[in-house]
Amino acid sequence: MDGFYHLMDGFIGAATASNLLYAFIGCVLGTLIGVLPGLGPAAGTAILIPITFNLDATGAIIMLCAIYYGAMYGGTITSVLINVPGEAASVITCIDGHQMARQGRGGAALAIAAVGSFFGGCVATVALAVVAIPLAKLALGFGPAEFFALMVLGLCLVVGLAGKNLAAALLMTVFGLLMAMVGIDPVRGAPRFTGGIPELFDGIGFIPVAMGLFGIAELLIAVEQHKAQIISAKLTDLWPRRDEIGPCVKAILRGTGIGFVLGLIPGVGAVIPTFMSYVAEKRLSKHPERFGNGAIEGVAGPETANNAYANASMVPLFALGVPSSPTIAVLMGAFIINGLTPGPFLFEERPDLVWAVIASFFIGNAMLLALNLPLVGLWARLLRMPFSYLCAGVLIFCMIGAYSLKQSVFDVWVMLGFGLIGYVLRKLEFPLAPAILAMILGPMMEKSLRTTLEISGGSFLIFLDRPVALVLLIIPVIALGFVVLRPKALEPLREADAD
Amino acid sequence: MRRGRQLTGLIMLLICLVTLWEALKLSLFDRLGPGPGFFPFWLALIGAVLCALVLLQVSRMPAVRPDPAQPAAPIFPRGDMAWRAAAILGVSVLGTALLEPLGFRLAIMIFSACLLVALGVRRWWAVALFAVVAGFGLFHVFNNWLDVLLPVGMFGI
Repeated sequence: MDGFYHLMDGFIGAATASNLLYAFIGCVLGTLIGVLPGLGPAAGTAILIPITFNLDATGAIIMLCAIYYGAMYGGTITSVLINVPGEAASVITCIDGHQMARQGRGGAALAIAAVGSFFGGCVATVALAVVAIPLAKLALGFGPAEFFALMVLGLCLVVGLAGKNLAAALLMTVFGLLMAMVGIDPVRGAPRFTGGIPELFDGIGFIPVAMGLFGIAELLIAVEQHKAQIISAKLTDLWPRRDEIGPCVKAILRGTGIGFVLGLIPGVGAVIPTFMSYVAEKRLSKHPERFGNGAIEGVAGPETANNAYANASMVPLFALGVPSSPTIAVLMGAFIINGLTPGPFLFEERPDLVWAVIASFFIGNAMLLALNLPLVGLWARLLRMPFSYLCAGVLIFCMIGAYSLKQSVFDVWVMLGFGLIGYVLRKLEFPLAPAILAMILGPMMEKSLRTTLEISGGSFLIFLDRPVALVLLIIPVIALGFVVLRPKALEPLREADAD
Repeated sequence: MRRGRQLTGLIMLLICLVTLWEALKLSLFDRLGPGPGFFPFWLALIGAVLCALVLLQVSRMPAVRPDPAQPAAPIFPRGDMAWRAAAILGVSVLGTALLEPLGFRLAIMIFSACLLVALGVRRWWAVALFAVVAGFGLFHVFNNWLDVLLPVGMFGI
């Protein structure tokens, strides 16, 4: 019941005029990011951080979270209307959503996606409110050894699902951790690996790196993609047929469950819940042959799972301080910029902020539902924007974003450099998600490990004396062992992610 | 792909070895516990082993002989696509280099105009309009409305 009362307080905080406005702006900008091909949620959220600099911490986080789940919904529109997913999680929606649009039922596809997203998002947020406090209380009993083990677990799960090549994924993790080592040592205050460059004393900025790896690299890859044909969908008939309502309700309920459970596991990524939901609907359907030809459950289930996942993935961030995906890592960066450290202590230090943000998820989801259906025509028109203007606009926002963090052109160079590195690494099939998660967790991991070893006098045997830490370290060993010994078991999930 | 992965593995190995060398110059362990070099040292060591593993995997990859009937798609773009990607990077470098000396407004005007022309926009009025709105409009929005300070150059604009 604690969670319920806190959530009610959160609604009071979230329902102020300014916070409602920030949630609204976030939803609109997020949908725009989702709609525009070549700009994913991670890059979009990173690029838009500067517009929150002048806001109070609560307003800034509310707006950035709204950008995130707005982007998750926005990708659906392009999937349905032009068969091009605005972001990776909407890939599966292309299959039946676009077929529905070709049959003149694009309105029904977008409407059921909006309703499913709203339901999945709201249920996942209720579950977040219920689960977060017990999980945070449990984590409050953690010492540095447990936190180190928890971060190792989070990174290993990301690595396990990151790509076909485990060694390459682990190498990317080490690369991210090494990037985080540049700057002032967090324990002793000694400068390291700076090469005498004063700008590096504060370390390599996480946000410029995220913008480069995800924003610039995505843009360079988008150059190679061909133009798609926009289907002028009839958006007057927004509701499913009567005989479709029953299967849709079941698909939405199953999608919510799948999205929420998978959202709790770091590293799963937004694509896998949608893929699993689609497979589940097809297997459970009495007429699986309809899938691929415009089955509405093929839109309702995955879209619900997508938004349930987006809201559930906030649980590890809020309760444990561990980001589960690159976009959540960018959000974690935004918390840190605002002087906040996500994790169990945040519930004690800033309950007003945490619960206002959680309550804002309901408000934001309702706004998305109310906004998106009437505005589908407008979003569809935006898809006609020529790539040249889109590219120039995104690059300018990236430059503003990178510069304004520290009023430093050096960060713009960092962003461009990592853009090129990200482009090459993606082309060579090196996964980038482990690198960005490792980079944000690196300083905390180092601090936790060194504090643990200071306590133990340098002995690693301390991990054997701490049962929770030991279990948390054994799980990734088993998980990675499973990946090495049974590489084919995870193949379908990886293929879904790669697609 | 094979050569690209080999080169990437070698560059990463070099980064790990340099980090290892630099970490050894820092204190690894002292009377207070692990020093500033401790964590990077172990990371670089693990990284070097992983690089070796990646290089070994790549060397074991079967060499693909090009089939003249079905040529494989190149990993990196060629022709027009390569030109567009290079234009994006090149103009971005130019824009960044001009940010401090010329200030945001002029640098972004030049950047926008060059990029649009490089990407094939030929309507001069559209290029000019976009450049002015991007340079002056965004400066006004960020500087005056959002209180985000953007660079002002040697001409005071």
